[in-house]
Amino acid sequence: MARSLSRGLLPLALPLAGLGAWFWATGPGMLPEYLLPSPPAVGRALCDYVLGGVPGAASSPYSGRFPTDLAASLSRVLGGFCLAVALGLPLGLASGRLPLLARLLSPAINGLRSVPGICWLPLALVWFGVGYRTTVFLIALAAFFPLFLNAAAGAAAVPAVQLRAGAMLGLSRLGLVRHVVLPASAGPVRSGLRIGLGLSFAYLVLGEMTGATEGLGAMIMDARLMGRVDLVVVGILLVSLAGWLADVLLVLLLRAAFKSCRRLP
Amino acid sequence: MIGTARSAPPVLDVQGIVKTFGMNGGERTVLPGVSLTLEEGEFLTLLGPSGCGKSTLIDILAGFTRPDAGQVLLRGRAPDGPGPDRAVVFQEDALFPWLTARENITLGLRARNVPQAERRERARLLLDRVGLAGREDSLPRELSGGMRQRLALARVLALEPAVLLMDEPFAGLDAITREQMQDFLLDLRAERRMTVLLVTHDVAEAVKMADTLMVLGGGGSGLLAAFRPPAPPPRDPAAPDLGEIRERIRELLRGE
Ligand SMILES: Nc1ncnc2c1ncn2[C@@H]1O[C@H](COP(=O)(O)OP(=O)(O)OP(=O)(O)O)[C@@H](O)[C@H]1O
Ligand SMILES: [Mg+2]
Repeated sequence: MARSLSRGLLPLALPLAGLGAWFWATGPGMLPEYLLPSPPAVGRALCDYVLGGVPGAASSPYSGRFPTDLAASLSRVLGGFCLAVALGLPLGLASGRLPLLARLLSPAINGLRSVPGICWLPLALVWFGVGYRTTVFLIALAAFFPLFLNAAAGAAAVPAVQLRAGAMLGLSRLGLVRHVVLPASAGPVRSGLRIGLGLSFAYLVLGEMTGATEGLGAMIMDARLMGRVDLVVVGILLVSLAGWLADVLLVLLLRAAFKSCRRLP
Repeated sequence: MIGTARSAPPVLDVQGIVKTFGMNGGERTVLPGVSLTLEEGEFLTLLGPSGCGKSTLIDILAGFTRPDAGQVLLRGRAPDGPGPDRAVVFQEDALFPWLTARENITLGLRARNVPQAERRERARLLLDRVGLAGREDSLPRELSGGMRQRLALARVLALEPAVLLMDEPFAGLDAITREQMQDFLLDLRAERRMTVLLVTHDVAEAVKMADTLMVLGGGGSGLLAAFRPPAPPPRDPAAPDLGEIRERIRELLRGE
């Protein structure tokens, strides 16, 4: 009982320690408010941003804007991530199984993936203008590589004997993909999806920082320009919370949908 | 009926199988032209030292690898690639770790569109038969080595194959479990009139179980000898009248 309780609390240990350090660093005689606002100040800004009209909070155009920003951001993440999945998973799995395709794709993909996402920003702005499509493009691009590479590595590592067993049991080529290749690469594919989704949130903020009017990234950028460091911190907290929740949700969804994910050792 | 029985082709008719592998620059012939036939209901064991090409021959019979020359006929017809008519129990663990015992068995039935209720029922009967009753929902990693091998056997029994190809299926088991598995396989074989080709390098195992014993030599020397002990299996491998066969096989294996 005590053990399971302490285990349940373990994930909270680091966030709580961080909170403690934050209180200490913003205490009397330490960092001034304009460098790092104190937890209560950030808490007030957070309440105002999320709920709106909190008395005592500095009045701002951001009161109660969180739902709108969140909806805008999530739709971009979802669009970009789904695009990356739709391209990266099939291409990755195929190139893991087809050496010719792998030879064709690997120089291009390994070259492109070392280009930092921010380099694409000017080009994306030229192509797509400011807003939804630029952000979706950046997210899709960033999430594509881990998805592709993990799916390819997973598919390439499917034990030959399992493919033979499947063929011996009478599975067709499509049946082999569905019943052997996919479940056998569930572990790496899941890793790719999680890394890709995490990157989606990072590139969401990058994409929204240039002139988007709504979204968590846009809010952070505006707050910086207006010298509202407390709102910047609020934005960081909310992005990390959203990213974490999305990851938890993704893992749960995969478990619900695929028994190979439920039964990973 | 008699006429058709007499003219029925053997289950497996293997003629002149050649297989050469490229080995860092050079070439190595593993199978120099191997021929054998397997009649309906026959139990053949293939003995040979490690690396002589036993698994390579199984791969070719199962359709996983193409021979450089020669042909395999299954009941008179050349099969196209692997299929459930030539079931394989592999040398290494080849169960699907993400499927339960039942699902491992029913996957092959699914591939041939057996309805779900019937799949479940057949899996239950087979698991019962191999002594895994009640373990329907266990994953392979939750089963012991002997249980996994019995599950692998149940998985291919579900296919009702024309021939069962087994590549050292009991090599990883302890002595007692191995002996139980041998007896079990002989029971099954009698009960279902199965045609079996079993690869082993255990002379006692071959002498105990086989109608026909064949020795494949190392270094690409091909089939060296075939023996058909007069008494039907199961035999006591220590019986004195089998001493001569045992000795000659050991000599052949040592001679390589
Ligand atoms: N794909 C391959 N490429 C190159 N050489 C191979 C390949 N497959 C097998 N060989 C070689 O062919 C020979 C026979 O291998 P095989 O696995 O058939 O032996 P085996 O009789 O089954 O041995 P064991 O009793 O150890 O299982 C070995 O020397 C092996 O190195
Ligand atoms: Mg072998």
